[in-house]
Amino acid sequence: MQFRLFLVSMLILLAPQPLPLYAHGSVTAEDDLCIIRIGFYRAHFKIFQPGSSGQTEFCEDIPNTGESIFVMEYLHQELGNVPVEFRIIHDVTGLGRFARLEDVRQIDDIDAATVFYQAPAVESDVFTVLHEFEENGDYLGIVTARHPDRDEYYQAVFPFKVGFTGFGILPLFLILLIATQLAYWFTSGGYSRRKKNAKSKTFDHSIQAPVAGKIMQVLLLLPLAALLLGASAPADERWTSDGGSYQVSYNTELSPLVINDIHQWTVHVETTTGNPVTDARLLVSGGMPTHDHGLPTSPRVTENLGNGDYLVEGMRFHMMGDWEITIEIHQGERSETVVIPLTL
Amino acid sequence: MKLHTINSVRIMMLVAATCGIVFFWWSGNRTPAPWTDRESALIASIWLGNLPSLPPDPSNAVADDPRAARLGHRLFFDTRLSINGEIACATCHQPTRQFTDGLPVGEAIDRAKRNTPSIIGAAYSPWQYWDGRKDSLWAQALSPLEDAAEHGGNRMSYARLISSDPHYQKEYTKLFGMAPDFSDPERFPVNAGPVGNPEWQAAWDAMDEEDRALVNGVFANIGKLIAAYERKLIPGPARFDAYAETVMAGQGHEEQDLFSEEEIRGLRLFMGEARCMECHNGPLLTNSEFHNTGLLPPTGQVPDRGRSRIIAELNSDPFNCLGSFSDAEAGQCEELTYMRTGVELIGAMKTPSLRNLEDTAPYMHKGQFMTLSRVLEHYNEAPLALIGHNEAEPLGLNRRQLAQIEAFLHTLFAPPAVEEKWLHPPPLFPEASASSATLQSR
Ligand code: HEC
Ligand code: HEC
Repeated sequence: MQFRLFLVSMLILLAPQPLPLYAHGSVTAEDDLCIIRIGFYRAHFKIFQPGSSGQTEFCEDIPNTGESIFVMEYLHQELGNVPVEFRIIHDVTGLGRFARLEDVRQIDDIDAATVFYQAPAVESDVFTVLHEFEENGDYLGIVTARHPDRDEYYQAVFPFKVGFTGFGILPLFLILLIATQLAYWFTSGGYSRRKKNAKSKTFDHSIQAPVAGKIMQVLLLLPLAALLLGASAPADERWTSDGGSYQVSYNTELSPLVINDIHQWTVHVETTTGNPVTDARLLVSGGMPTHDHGLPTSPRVTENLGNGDYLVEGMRFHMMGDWEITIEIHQGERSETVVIPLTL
Repeated sequence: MKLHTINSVRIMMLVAATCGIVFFWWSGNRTPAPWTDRESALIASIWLGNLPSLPPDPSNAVADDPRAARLGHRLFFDTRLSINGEIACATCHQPTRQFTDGLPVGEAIDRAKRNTPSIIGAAYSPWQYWDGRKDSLWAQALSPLEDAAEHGGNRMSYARLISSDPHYQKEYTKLFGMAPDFSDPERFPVNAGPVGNPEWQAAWDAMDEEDRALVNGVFANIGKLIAAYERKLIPGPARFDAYAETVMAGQGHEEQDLFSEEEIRGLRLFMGEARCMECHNGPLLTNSEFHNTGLLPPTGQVPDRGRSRIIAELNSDPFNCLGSFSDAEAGQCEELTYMRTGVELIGAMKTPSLRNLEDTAPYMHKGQFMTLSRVLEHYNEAPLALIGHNEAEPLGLNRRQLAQIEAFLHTLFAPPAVEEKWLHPPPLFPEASASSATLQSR
């Protein structure tokens, strides 16, 4: 047992450290995302080699020559309004992963070293370029973006290798992991046990999958059946806002609600004592909590109908299932939110 | 542990394993379970009989005028609407192939950027094109005419064709009043238009504002005529729909001979575990919405940004529902007015109908997949999207289940429910062939 503890602690020590250790110039890993910083701008950075590695995402170094797609998903809205330029050069600084912006600025003839150049382009939310690398080696990527209003430019430099042979210490780690497991297994007599158990082991595998699958299916069907019975809410149902000040109900132009049809709602807001709230400003949004996406439209209140009624136009649902409509109620200083669940 | 406890555990496991295997074998081979109420309701929801009547298009005053459909029919097949006199809409949207072309991406004068979709049932969609960059059929019809890869011409020459071809002129007058006279070469150059060829653009910029509006007016009407024809192209009932009727009539699996067990299982997967109906729903099997499904771009291309790239363009399109060529009141343009934006739309494309799959391979926006089984493998893996976020999730289905879904998809194949005459080129006008030199290429 002590031997095992020792192995485990060894493994923890050897485990790949959090990625920032590997930060290459302006590209760093944060919360599992590869981030590039260009001045104060940030973007989600990734490289793909569809031809050789399919849909595997690389952060900096790429394993092969050939077609490579560089993607920057903007995390800063302003980046979508300014021209962004992209350049890849041979690493003529000889500094490899330690190359920094200052080193790049000292290169005399940057054009001579350039292998790829994308002239400044404004892209609203994601920037993509494709370059086909002809040879392995060290390269530097240079991204330039303009300041939102001033005539000032920000640059980011990220060194990377093409045709890198290893994955840092990851393979070493894996080999160690397997080796230690094997060692443990042998020392604890696993080999001799296995010889005896060979037959029941195979059974072991075949039971679990189908049975678990069936149980899962049954479990999945139960809520579905419940859904059917639970159908849509009656029209006179009311929901109370999170702060407890308002009660909200709604009527739809479409009754019953169906998918794929744009329609209007009338939302009624009143105080908990039943007095209509006639001077509120409502913001309507919605989505499917289990699908992590919103409504297919951006509905808005287009008319205050008086008596606490508000006309909401542009409602549409595009999937069957559970939805939540969120209505923010702003009245003077106060703002509260009500969530209306519904099932289509 | 004592030896006998170990042994009894083994025996229990053996029994459980045997039960599991027997159960798996039995569940795989017995007749499928009867449809639950919810499943029957879902089947009814995609039955073609539940397709509502065609939604009106308030932005097109002649949308449902039979004379407009007849004229649009001619325009759809008229190769004079092209720079080289050889291309018509029907070159790529071929009636014999469910109005597609069998190619990965469309090809006319040059290679188009995307796969040619079927236009059967397109009139039901609030958005046209894979990225939905047009909000009506008539606005859509204008862009291939000026696209260098497609018809390659310009609006000036098309407007002149309408006002000079005697037949077009006569029919046009009945619907819209007399077309303007474009014969003055000082005011109306031979070729002019705001997109494409720089010389045509220069000529267009040099024209008077009002003259350009006259040309735009006739050009927009060409689109409205073609749209009136396209509204005739409606999908027809498939074997699935006949089967759905037996389900709705309360018949069990044994009493019907329309669907095999594999197809029944495929349908069940389609509605349930495989989650296809999250997007492919309603009688046309599409929600007409935009989703990122994590497709790889073809070799040598960056990923297509889809919907997110065109939102600004759509808002400023002079031919959109709110523009001056639209016949709609502002309040009737709900889809455009309440359009959503946001990062969910990066790499998102419009869900296609699954009622035209026969003859419409290759599939997906760049024709990435030649066969339906490749499409299904893709959904089963649901790989990481290069840009944005793949909304589909890995399904973990086995080969047999994928084959069952495919078997079900085949039951949706059907010829369109369209009067035969609309599927063929109209008989030629007597005068038409004589005036085919109206368009001059440069
Ligand atoms: C080069 C072949 C070609 C020609 C010629 C052509 N199209 Fe298309 N069509 C396409 C392609 C490719 C698309 C998809 C383009 C995209 O989404 O960006 C398309 C899309 C469409 C759509 C949208 C369908 C949908 O479901 O989104 C309609 C409608 C359509 N075309 C009608 C027409 C009409 C009308 C004409 C004649 C004026 C025409 N097309 C000429 C290739 C062609
Ligand atoms: C998240 C929404 C979504 C889900 C879930 C989904 N699809 Fe799709 N489907 C789409 C979109 C969007 C496209 C077009 C993708 C593109 O070309 O970028 C598409 C395309 C297709 C096509 C190609 C059609 C053509 O004409 O090119 C087929 C076939 C298809 N889907 C079948 C299925 C099946 C079967 C399932 C269930 C396993 C499924 N889809 C699940 C949204 C979805």
